[in-house]
Amino acid sequence: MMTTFPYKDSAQALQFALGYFDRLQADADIRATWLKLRAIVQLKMRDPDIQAYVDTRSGTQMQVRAGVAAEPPNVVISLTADVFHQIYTGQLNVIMAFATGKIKTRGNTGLVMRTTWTLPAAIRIYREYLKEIGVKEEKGSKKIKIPTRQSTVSGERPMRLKERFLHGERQVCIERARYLTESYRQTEGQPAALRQARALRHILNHLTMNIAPDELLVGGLTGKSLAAAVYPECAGQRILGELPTLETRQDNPFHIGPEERRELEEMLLYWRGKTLEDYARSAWPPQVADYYDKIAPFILTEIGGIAHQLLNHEKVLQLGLEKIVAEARQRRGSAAGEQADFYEAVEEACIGVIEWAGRYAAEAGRQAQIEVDPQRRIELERIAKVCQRVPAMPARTLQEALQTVLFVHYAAQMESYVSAISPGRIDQFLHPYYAADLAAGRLDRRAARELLECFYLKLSESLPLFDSDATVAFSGLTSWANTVIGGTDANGLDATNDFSYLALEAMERMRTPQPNFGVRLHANTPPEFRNRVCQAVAGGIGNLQIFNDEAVIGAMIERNIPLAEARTYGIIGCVEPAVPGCSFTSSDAALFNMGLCLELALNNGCGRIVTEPIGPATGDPRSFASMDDVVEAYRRQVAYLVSLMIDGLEGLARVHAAHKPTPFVSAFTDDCLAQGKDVTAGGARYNFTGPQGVGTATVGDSLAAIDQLVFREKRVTMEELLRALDDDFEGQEPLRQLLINHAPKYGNDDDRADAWARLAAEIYCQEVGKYPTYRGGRYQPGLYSVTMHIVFGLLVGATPDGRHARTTLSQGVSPAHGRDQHGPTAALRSASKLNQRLVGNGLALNQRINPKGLAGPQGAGILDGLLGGYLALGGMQLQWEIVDRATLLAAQERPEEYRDLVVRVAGYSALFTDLSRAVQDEMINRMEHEI
Amino acid sequence: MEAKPGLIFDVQRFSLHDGPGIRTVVFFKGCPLRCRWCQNPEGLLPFPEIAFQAERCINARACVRACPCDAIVYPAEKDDGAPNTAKRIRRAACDRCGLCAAACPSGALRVVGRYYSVDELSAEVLRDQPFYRASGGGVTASGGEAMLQTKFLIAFFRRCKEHGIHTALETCGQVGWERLVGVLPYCDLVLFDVKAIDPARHRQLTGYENTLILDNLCRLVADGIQIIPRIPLIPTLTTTPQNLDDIALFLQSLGLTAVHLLPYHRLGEDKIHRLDSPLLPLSLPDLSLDEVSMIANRFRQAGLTPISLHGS
Ligand code: SF4
Ligand code: SF4
Repeated sequence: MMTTFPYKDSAQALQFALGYFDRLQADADIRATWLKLRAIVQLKMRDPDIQAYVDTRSGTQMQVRAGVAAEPPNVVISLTADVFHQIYTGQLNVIMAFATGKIKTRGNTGLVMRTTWTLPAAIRIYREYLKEIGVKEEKGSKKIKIPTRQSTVSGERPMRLKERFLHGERQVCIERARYLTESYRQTEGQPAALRQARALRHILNHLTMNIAPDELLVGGLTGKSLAAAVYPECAGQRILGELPTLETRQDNPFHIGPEERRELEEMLLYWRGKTLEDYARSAWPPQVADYYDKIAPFILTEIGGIAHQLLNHEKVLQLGLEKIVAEARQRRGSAAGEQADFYEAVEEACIGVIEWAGRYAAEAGRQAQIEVDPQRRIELERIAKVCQRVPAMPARTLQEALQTVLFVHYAAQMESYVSAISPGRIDQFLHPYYAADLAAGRLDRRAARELLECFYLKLSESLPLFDSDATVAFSGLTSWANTVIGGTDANGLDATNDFSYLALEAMERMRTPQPNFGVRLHANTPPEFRNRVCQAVAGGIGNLQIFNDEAVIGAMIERNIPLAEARTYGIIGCVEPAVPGCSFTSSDAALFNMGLCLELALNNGCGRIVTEPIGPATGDPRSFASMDDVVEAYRRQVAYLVSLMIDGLEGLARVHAAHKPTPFVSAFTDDCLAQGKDVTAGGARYNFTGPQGVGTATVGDSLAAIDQLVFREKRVTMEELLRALDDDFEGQEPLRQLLINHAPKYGNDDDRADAWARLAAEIYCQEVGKYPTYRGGRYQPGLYSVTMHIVFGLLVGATPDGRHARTTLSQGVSPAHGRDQHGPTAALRSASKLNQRLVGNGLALNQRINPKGLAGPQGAGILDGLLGGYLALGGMQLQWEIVDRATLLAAQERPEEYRDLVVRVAGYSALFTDLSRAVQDEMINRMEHEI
Repeated sequence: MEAKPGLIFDVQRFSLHDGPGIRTVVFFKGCPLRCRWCQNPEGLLPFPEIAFQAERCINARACVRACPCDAIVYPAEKDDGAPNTAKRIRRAACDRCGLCAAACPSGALRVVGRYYSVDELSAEVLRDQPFYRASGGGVTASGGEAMLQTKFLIAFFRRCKEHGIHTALETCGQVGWERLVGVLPYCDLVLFDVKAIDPARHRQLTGYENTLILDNLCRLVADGIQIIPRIPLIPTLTTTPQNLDDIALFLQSLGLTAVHLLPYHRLGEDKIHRLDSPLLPLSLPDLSLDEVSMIANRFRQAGLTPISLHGS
C-alpha cells in the first residue's frame, strides 16, 4: 500500500509544495537543469487542489510562484497530490506514471522529460523535507507543523519579503471590525467625531501586532499579515451574503476561518441600519436609491468610505503628533459645542496612534530580547527605538520618516477606508531625511534603497476586501496608494532630486503592486531623468504613469487653485491631482455612464438593456434633422442624470459629515484645526468632489458615425441604424462593419472623430462643473474608469460605433479597443485635443507599447521622443501598457479589439491582426525568444 | 507651381527603423525592380490596385452589387480549397474603378494607392512634427521607389525642409542620375539598397543588372551626402558568402562604414495573394539570430559597422 500526500487542505498543501520547491532550488544540479529549460511550467495538482508554476524564461532566475502563470505556460502538468507524493517518495516510477496516464501534460512534454534525470536528488530532498517537518512517510498524520520558507529563500531582504508577500495566502482579518464594533457599542449617543476617534483608539490599542522576520518597517491595517480589514460601517453588509463563498470565489479569494466568520456575521447584525449605505438611502431622493441599485447611469463610490487623500506627511514629520495634540488641546480651551468635540476627537485619535507606535516599540523590544541572531537583534532594537520616537515626535532619520509615514498611512486607512490614501511626493518630503542620513554617514545609498523597498512592500500589504460586484469594477488587489516623483517646487523650479532616482530604482527592482507610481514631467525636467524614466519603461515596468505638469497645473488653475500651490500637486489614487496636505477632494466620488446617456438620447430616454425610462424623453431620433438635435438630446440626458448623481453625492456628503467624520486625518489637514472643522464638514482649504465620466471614445465614435454615415453621406438612415441597435446588429453585420470601417474613429488623429469625442466629454464636464459641493467647494469632473467601463458596458446596448451590446465601453480617454490604427503618435495627438482644462480631477490614457522594439538605449530614446512630443502637445497623463506574448495571443483570439497592434519592421507596414495565422504564430514565437 | 499629385500607398507614422528617431514613412507606389523577396508587393505597380483580404470578408456581397464590370467572383474561387487565399476579383475583367471597395463594409476590399497633393501629404506628415523634434526624427520616402515620382518627391521634400523636417530617401537606385541629383538638395540621408554585386546575379534576383545602381551609389558617395547602404539578407539568394564578401569589399572601397542589415521575413508574402501580383511567395525559412549575427560579424571583420534591423 502506497502512502498518500500529507495534507488535505489546499492552503497548507500549497505552502508545503512551495517549501519543497525552495529546497529543490537550493540544489545546484536541479536548479541548473531547470534554468536550461527557459520556460514556464505550470503545475496543477488535485485533491487537494494546488496551482503553482515555475518560470525560468530568463535563464538566470528560477521563479516559483503560487497560482496560474499570467502568460501561457510552455507545458502544463496535471496530477493528483497522491501521485505527486508517490513519485517524490520514490514509490512510483515517473515514466510509468506518464504511461498510465497518472500524469497528464499539455504542451511541450519534452521539457518535463529533460528534468527527470534529477529525480533521484529530488526524491532525497523530498524525504528529508518530510522528516524535517515531522511527516512520517508511512502514514500521513493529521497535525503537522507548516514549514516556514524563509530559511531557504535566498536573495536580499526586500526580495525575501516580496517572496513572502507574493506567496502568502490572502486572509480576512476581522480585528478592525471587532474593535470598532466594541467601541461603537459603548459610545452610543456620543458625538460622531468622538465615537470615531474612540473607535480608532480602541482598535489601535488592541490590534494584534505583527513584526515579520526581516522587516525593518512595521505596522499594518490588520492583525494578520497579508489580510484585508473589514469596514462594517461602510458598505459592509454587502460582503455579508458572500462570506460563505469568499474563499472559493474565482477572483481574489480570501480565507476566513469558521469562527471568525461567525463572529463577523454577529457583528454585522449590530450595524444593520447604521451603515453609510443605510443612512444614505434615507437621505436620498427615491430615484437615486433606485438607480443606485441598478448601477445603470452611475455608481456612487463614496458610499464605501471617502479615503482618497494626499496626507500632510510633511507636517507630521516636522512637528510630530504630540505638537498637533497640544495645538488641538489649546484650541479646545476656547471652543465650545461641536468645535470642542472636534478638537477632543483630534486629540484622542492622535493619542491612539501614538499609543499604537508605543505598543510596537514594546513588542520590538520584547522580540529583541529573545532573538538569537545578533544581527536581527540589533535591527529589532532599532525598530523599538524608532517606534518609541515617531510619530509622536519629529522624525530625524529616513527610517524614522518612513515609519512615521506608514503609521499615519495605516491609521488613515483604518479610520476612513483603505482606498487611495496616497503618500504623494515622497521624493520631496523624504529627501531631507535621506540627505541628513547620508551626510551623517548613518546610511549609504544602497541601505536607503533597501528601506524604501521595504516601504513599498508595506504599502502593498494593505489589501481591499471587495464584494464580487466591486471586484469586477475595480479589479486587482490594489489600494491605489499613489506616489509621484519629479515635478516642480512652488516657484516652478525643477524639483527632481537624488531621491527621485532612488525611488524609481526601487520601483524597478521591486515591481510591487503598490505604490501606484507616477512621474511628473515638465519643460525643465533634466533630460537624464526623463531618459531614466524611459529606460524603466523600456525595461518593462508596466505600471508607470506620466503626468505633464503644464496640463495638470493648467486644469488646477482653471479650478481657482493658486499657481504656487498647484505647482506642488501630488496625485491621489489613479490620476487625480490635488494640493498635498490641504485638500479634501473625494476624488473618486462616483463614476458616470456617458455611454448610457448616448443610448437614452437615441431611444427617447429609455435604455436598451435596462428597458425602462431612465432619462427625460428627448424625442424620437427619427425626427432629428441634424447632429445638433442628436447632441442636444445627449446633453439633456447628461444634464438630468448628472443632477441626480449630484443629489446622491450631496446626500452622501451629509451622511459622511454626520456619521463618519475622520478626525485623525483632519488633525493635520490644513486648515481643519484653524477652522475647527472636520475634513468631511469642509475643514480643508480646498474642497472638491470628483465624479468620473466613462465612455469618452465610445460616445465620440458613435457621434462621429452618425454624423458621417447618417447625416453627411446619408448611407444609412436613422431608422436602419436604430433598428440595428435594437437588434444588437443581429443579421446586420454589414451595417456594423460599415460603422466600424467607414466612419472616422477617435484615436487616429482624425479631427472628424476627435472633435466629437472632445464634445462628448466636454458636455459631461460642463454639467458636473456647474455644481457647488456640500463641503463648500466645487464638483470637478475626471475622465477615467478604473475597470468600470466593463461594468457600465454590460448595461448599455449596441452603439453606433459598431460596438455590440453589453461589451465594454472605452476605457478612460483611451481610444475604443483596437480602433486606433495609426500608431501611438496619432493616438496621443487625439487625446491631446480633448478639453483637458476642464478635467480637474484627471484623466487616464492607456497606450500599448511593445518594449521589444524598444530595447536598449535607442529604445529609451524613442520613448523619450514619444513623451517629449506628447508633452509639447500639452497632453495631461499617459500610461504605457507593455505588449507581450500574452497580448499577441489575445489579439489572435479577439482581433477586433487589437487592431491597433502595428508590426514594425524596416520598410514594411502591417497591422498584426492582418497577418495570417501562421505568420502571427511565428511572431509570437519570436517574441518569446527575444524577451 | 504645383507638382502633379503623387501616388502613395501608405503613410506609416511612428516608424522606428528607417532613419533616426520617430519617423513617418511615406510609401510611394511603383517600382522599376521586381525583387523576388519584395515585402511590399502592393508598391510595385504605378497605379491604384484593388486588394482583397479574405480574412476580413463577411460575405456581405456588397461588391457584387457595386461592380459595373461583373468582375466579382462569388462564391469565392479557392486555391485548392485552402481558406484565406480566395480570389474575389476576376482581374482580366476588372477596370479598377474601386466601386467595390467603396461598398465593401468590412474593409476586405480596398483600393491600394491614393493620389495626394503636396499640400495634403505635407499636412499629413506635419502632424507628427512635435515627435520628430523630440526624438530627432523626420520623414522617410520609401516604396516602391519614390524616385519614380521625382517631381512630386522634390516638391514634397522641399516642403518638408521649409518646415525644418529631416528627410530620408530610401531607394533601390535604379534611376537616372540626373533625377537623383535634383532630390539631393532637399534630402538629408539616403538609405541605399545594395542587393548583389555580380550583375548577372542582380538581374536574376531583381530583373535588372546593377550597373546604373552601383554607378549612382559611387556618385552619391562622391557628392558627400550621408548614405547608409541597406542589405536585404535573403537566405540562399543574397546571403551567399561570395555575395556578402563582394558587397563588403565594395562598400569598404567606397569608404562607407555604417550598413543596415535587413533579415528576410515572410510578413510581406501574405500580401501577394491579395493582389494581382507579378510576384510569387518565396516561403523561405527565417534566418536565425545566430545566422544574422554571423553575417554581421563578417561585415564587422571587413571594417564596417553593421546594424541589423529586426523590427518588432
Ligand atoms: S474595382 Fe471596379 S471593376 Fe474591379 S472588381 Fe471592383 S467594382 Fe469591379
Ligand atoms: S526595389 Fe524594393 S520595392 Fe522595388 S521590388 Fe525591390 S524590394 Fe520591392
